[in-house]
Amino acid sequence: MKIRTFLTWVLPLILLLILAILLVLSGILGRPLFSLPALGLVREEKVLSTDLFLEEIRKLETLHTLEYVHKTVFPFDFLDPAVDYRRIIDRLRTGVGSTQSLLTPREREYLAARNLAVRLGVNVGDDAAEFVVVTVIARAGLDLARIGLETRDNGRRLLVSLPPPRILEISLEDAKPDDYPYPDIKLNPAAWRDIAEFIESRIGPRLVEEGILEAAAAGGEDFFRALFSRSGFHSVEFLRRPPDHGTGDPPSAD
Amino acid sequence: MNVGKGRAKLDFALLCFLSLLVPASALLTGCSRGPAVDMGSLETRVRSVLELPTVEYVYRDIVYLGSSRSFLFFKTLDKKLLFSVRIRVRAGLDMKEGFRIIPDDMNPRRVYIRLPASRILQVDADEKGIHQYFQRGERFGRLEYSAAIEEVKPRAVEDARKRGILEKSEENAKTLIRGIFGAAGFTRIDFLPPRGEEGIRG
Repeated sequence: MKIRTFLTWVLPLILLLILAILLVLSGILGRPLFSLPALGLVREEKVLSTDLFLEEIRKLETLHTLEYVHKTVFPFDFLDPAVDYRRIIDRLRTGVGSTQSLLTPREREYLAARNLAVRLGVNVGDDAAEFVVVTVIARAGLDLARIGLETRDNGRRLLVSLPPPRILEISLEDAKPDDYPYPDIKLNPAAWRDIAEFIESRIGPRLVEEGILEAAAAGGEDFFRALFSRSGFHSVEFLRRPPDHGTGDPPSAD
Repeated sequence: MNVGKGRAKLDFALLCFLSLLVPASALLTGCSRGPAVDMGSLETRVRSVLELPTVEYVYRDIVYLGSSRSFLFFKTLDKKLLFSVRIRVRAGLDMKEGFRIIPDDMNPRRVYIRLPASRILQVDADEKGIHQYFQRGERFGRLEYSAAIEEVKPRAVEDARKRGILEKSEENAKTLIRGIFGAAGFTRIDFLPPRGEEGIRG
C-alpha cells in the first residue's frame, strides 16, 4: 500500500471508526466522552435549568417557611391599654346606633373580651392579675404552584416572582399541667371552651398584624436565594406579589 | 500530477475535519444521556446553600414572675410581672462532617447524597419585642427578668425539638438538594442514612 493511499483513505477511516466506536460506547454508558468545561470551551456554566427547577419545585405544592408558636394571654391580649372602658360605656349610653357603628374594632374587641372574662369569673379590675395562657400554632408559607421564574438579558438575570404568603394552618393546643408555668385559675371545661373559641375567632388578624406573613415571605426569599446561589446567573432578583384580596386572611382555626 | 496531489491533500483534510466534526457536534448538541455538569461545582454550591439555616420557628413566649413573702399572716412582699418575649429558633445542617455526594457509576442520572445531622444553629431573644402586660407591687430588677428571658431560651429549643424542627430542617435540605440536582439533570436522587444506619431513603 502506498503511503499516499494510507494517508488519504486508510488513516482517516481508522480515526473515524475509532471515534464512531467511542460515540456508540458513550451512548450505551450514557455519559459524555469528556466534559466541556474541562476543555475550557465553556467559561460560564449554568447548573440550573429554570424549567426543570419549576417542575421539581411545583411538585411540593406549598413551601412551609415559618412556624409561629404564639402564646396568647386571655384577657390581656384583647384589652388594648389605649382603650378606655369608661368611654366605651359613655358612648354606648349616650350614642344612637348599633355597637358596630359606635365603637372602633379595637373597642369592640375590648368590650367582648371584658364581658367574657366577667361572665367566666376572671378578675379584670385595675389591679387584676388573673389570666389564662393558650398556645396557638400557626404555619405560614408560599403556594409554590404560583411561583414564576423569568430569565432576562440572554439568561444572565433571573427574576423570581414569589407568590403571596399565606397562613396555611392555625391550631390551638390544650394546656398540659406539667407544661404550664403560670398561676392556675379556677375554670370549668365550658369556660375553657368559650375562651378557646374567643381566641380562635380573633387570632388570625392579630398574627397578620404581628408580621407572620412578612416573616413567611422573608423565609421563602431566603430559601430561593439559597437555591439559586452560585447557579450561574449574574443576578437573581425577587418580586414579591402582594397578598390577593382576602388571601392574607388566615383560615379559621381547627 | 500537481493537481492530483492537491486533490488528495484536500480529501485528506476534509476527511479529518469530518471525523472530528461528527463527534464534536454530537457532544455539543448533547447526544449523551447523562447530565454534563461539574460535580465539584455542584458540591460547592450545595455546601454553601446548606450552611444556611433551613428552618425557623418563632416563639412568642409568656414570662410570669411572681414573688411573695409573709410574716405572721401579713404579706411583706408581693410582686408580679407578666410580659411576652419573641424567641427565634433556627435549625440547619452541620456541614462540618458527614456530607458526601456519591455519583452512581452505572447510572449517570442517579446520585447518592449523605447528609450530616441537623442541629439548632441559633436561638435569639428579641428584647425589643418585649410587651409588658402588667406589673403589680414592687418592681423587679433588670437582672431578674433578664435571667427569666434566658430561662425561656432552652424551653423554646426543647419545644422546637419536640415539634420536629430538626426533621423539618432535614426535609427542607432535601428539597433544596432535589431542586439543585433535579435542575442539573439528575432524575434519581437517593439519600443515604447518616453513618451507622442502614438502608436508602429516596
